[in-house]
Amino acid sequence: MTRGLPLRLVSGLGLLLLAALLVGPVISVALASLMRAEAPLSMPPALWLHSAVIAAVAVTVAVAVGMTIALWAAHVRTPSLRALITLAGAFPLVIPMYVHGMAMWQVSVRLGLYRELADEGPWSDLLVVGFVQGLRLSAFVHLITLAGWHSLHARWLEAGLLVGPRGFVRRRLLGPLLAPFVALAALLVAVISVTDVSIPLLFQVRSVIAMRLWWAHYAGLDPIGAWGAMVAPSLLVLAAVALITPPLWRRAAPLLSARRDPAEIPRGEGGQWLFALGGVIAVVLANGALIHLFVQITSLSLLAETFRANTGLISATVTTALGAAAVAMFAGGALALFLGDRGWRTVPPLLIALVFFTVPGFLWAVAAVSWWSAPGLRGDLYETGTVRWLVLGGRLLVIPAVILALAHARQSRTQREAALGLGWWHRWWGVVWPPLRRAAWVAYALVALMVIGDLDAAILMDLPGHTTLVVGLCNRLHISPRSPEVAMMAAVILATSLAMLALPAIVSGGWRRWREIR
Amino acid sequence: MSAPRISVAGVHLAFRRREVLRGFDLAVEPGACVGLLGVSGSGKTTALRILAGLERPQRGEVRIGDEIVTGDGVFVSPHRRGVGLVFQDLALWPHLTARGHLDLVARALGLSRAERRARVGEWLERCRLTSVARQRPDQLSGGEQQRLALARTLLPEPHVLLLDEPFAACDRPLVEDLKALVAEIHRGQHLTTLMVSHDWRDMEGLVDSVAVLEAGHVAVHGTAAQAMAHLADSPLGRFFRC
Repeated sequence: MTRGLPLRLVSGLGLLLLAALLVGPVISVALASLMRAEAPLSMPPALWLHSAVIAAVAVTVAVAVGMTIALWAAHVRTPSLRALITLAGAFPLVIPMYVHGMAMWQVSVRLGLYRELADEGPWSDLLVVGFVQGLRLSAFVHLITLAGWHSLHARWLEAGLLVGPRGFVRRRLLGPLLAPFVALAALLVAVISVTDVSIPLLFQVRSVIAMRLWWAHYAGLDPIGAWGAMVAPSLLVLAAVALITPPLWRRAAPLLSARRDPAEIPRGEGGQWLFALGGVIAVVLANGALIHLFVQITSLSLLAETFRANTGLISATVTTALGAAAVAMFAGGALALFLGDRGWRTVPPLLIALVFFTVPGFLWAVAAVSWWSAPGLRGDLYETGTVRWLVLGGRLLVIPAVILALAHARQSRTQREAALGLGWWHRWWGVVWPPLRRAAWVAYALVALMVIGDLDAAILMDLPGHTTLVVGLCNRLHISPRSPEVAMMAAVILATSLAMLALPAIVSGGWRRWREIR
Repeated sequence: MSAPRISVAGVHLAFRRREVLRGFDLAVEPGACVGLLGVSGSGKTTALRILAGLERPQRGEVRIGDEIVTGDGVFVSPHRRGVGLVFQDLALWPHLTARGHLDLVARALGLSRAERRARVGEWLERCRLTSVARQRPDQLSGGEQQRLALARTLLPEPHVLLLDEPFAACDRPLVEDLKALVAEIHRGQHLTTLMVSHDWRDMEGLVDSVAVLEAGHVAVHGTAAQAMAHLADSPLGRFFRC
């Protein structure tokens, strides 16, 4: 019953994430002491409520979109097609949150929706912010739900099919088996949504906790205990997730898996390809059309010129992404392997990693700036821009830790023990590493893309000569929001993200295999 | 309904280009217990899955009793066939306790809470699982897992019992114990039983007749002695532990 292990691990991670939310205030106090507090910060209940509303909308949208694509990918039998749908579902991650937000803003302005919505009062703004966040974060739900699906055994569902109809099997077996994965993904979405400032900043929504902290930093106020106040909306969001997920599941599942049970689908059914290909095109086009409205590549020569003019920004972005990903992968990977089969002893290190993740990026940045920018060796190191690697990599190390721990848990202990006669390097390279390779690629991609798209921490830790693309775009938006240069910058960000995704595939021999196929 | 007759005629099934079953024919009389013997990859499990409705053949017909359950334009859902299948890997649900397994099956039957409790209690006792009713599959011993899989299959009172290598991972004393339980249930419940194995000793004393599956079709179907005689002459004979 080794397949039960990831399931329990995911459930445990969900609980740990909750615990991290509760431990967060302690870390906030430590951070606040670094920020040289001057005056207490008030946190009216309305801020909690608004943050909770945004997170609830983000979770609803992300779960609906992410689960739909994940279950669809899971039901397709052709491996290459399944990979295509999986990539399409992960596509929103390539687009930084801020750029996604800008695109949505452009769309709503062009359609005249934004003005109408804005006239409706602050609640409509909250819904828009939640919707934009949810659309982008659906990739998290998609990937984690899909991972959950692949940890299920087809026989479990077939055993259910022998006793009850498909609806019963979905409701009573598939739902409970997938629920921990969906809940974990929803929690991650909620945490990112509550701690994000880029989209509220873009849509000028100030009445949320993250923004209150953000402006408090500029006003020189003390955010002692303020992050602790974020626990309440997070718990509210959790309750909302618990209420929303089952009905959503009941509605979505029958539509998605109709006529797709193994017993009812002859293998190699032809129409499947057309159906799935159409869906992939629809998903990519929907994202592409959205981005096109913002990006608008007017001419390729202008695009090339923008590339040339922004080589400094591109190299800073790439080095930051690679550096932070290296920190996160190294530390997170080591943590995952250390966790291994250690039972309850896995709890404290994982809890620390989760706390790193649940504290907003800009708070880490404020603390890092306070401590590292002092004169002397610390200041010299800060000037090199490498501190950003530590801050971003440290905050995101939980992503590779969790993904690699899940992949590691699926490998049985006896498989590793069978290679005891080998030296440690051969055992690592020949036995432990191969099953982790795909998980490591996913973890790297998630970390690198989140670093490329990061605005919250990068804007506070911005240094001359080390400005990243998203910060550069944000700065230009203030000068000329509708200029072709801004659109080109967004295109450059997308291209850089795609290149960063392709990098490990090329390094790991993907290019060689591609040439062999050709 | 009493034990039905099973009849399979001209079943073909190929996965991509690999033909697994080629003109598979088999008849099992009502209330009989038939063993299906074959080497690994001969299509034994696939044959059971077709009977259970978990695979759909490209050609051929399957009848359970008087009803065509799989045929040209006809396909009866697995849960409407009155068939119970014990999977080779048992396929126990990792998130449910032993009682939870049986309760879920009883719920699928639409029983009231009182009826469910009574039925679940009866099967827990019958399969000697009462003391481990609150344990999940990974907390059960190999024999308890086998008995739980059997109880889960039999609780809906199927008319046909399909066993896919049910004793493959058990030691001999446990095999004899489980064989006695299966024999008792087969007779007590008036079932038509089809049991698949690659090991003759698993079937010995349990089955009424033996069908030998070779290259996707039944090469011989008769008494144990006839099957053994066929295997002795067959190049595949050395693969069976006869």
